[in-house]
Amino acid sequence: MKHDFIDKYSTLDSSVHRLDPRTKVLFSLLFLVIVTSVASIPSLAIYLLFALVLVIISKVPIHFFIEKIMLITPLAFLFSAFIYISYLIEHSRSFSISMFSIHYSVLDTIVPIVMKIYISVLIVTLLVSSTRFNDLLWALRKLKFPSIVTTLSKLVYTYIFLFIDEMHRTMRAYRSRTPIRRISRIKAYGSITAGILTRSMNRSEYIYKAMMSRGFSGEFPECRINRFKSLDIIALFLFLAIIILEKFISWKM
Amino acid sequence: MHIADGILPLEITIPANVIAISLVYAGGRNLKSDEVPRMGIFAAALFIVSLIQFPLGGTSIHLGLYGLAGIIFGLRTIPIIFVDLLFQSLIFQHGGLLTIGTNTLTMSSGALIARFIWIHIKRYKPLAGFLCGFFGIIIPALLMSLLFIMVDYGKGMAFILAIYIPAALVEGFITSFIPTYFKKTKPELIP
Repeated sequence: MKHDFIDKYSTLDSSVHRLDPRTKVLFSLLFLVIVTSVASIPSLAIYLLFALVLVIISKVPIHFFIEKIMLITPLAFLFSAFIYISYLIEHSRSFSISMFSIHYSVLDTIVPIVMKIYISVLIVTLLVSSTRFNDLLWALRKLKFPSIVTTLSKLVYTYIFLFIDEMHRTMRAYRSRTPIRRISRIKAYGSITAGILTRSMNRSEYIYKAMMSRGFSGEFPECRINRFKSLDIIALFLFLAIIILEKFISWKM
Repeated sequence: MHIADGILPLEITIPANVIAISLVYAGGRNLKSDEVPRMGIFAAALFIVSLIQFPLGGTSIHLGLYGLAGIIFGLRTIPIIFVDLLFQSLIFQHGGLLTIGTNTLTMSSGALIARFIWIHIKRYKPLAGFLCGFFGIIIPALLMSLLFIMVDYGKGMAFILAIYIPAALVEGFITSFIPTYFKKTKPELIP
């Protein structure tokens, strides 16, 4: 079984990586709250710039962020298209591409939303790529997330690979038995999905018992290296400075 | 489609997060030891199937298995869906972190309605399975459209529902076979 690790850039060394995981989770959530509450394009541009600076400081390869942006782009366009259709319906106009450029009121709605979506993706990607997955779960638990969430997340992280493995094995077996490569009947999809689930569940129970026998209780042991440091305080002041700067620029405009 | 961050206002996302986390607590209470790995593997399954795209008329759709999760786990589906959405949000940016509560509530409502249908249709279980799979997708899509209309994105948001009808039909057909299969191989799973 060979699979990529989800948090493959978390072992890099940068100021962002060295921040306490709790600080990163709290900053990310606070950042998302602030970005969601802002509506003006210049203010969002400041936060976008700040997010890009953090991305550069983190030393995580830029192509990793571009891949994530590309994943969300079709959804952002689809959502924008629906907003535009709504606009046309409510203003009883017929559809034309050329109209899109002259309807500033609908662009005023779409552009901030697309900016917010992209900023959010950058921030969440930065959080995940700069923090080891176990540290992220530890931070969530410390921030009083329900233990069922962190326990299940830990199991899911383990079981994703198990499920993919079972899926590959089943599809290999299916291909070796059938003269055609394509599964043509929905019933076959149903049986295959159920078969994969059954075998995965059986294996997951053994793995869970093995984890329990080695002391896994769903909690995450205290991690010595995760402590609030002066870097966390500097990051807090920097973040506050950016918020004040944005508010000042908005007020001036 | 799960709702991304930045689309819904905080007036909706924050109360939805509070309600969703309360329901996650409720759904995760008094767990038996054999339920935890099953919930874990099912959350992993929901996550993986959402990444497998099927071509459909120039675009692509994916399974959700929310109806099936509802049939098997009932109220326990809420933590499963929450964790699935957390993974989708963190790793593949499908849905947001702030909107995770809203997404959990819409997806879970489909799963819980599926459970209700499964329990109340005593005969014609393949038909019940189909309806569970179908409504497991359509109910969240309907709630999402209503939410967008409520937030003033316009009535055109109702068209979102149309995208999900083919996906719901495929999901319905697949879900009509899986509980029958489980009845034979793992009868303890199906109520």
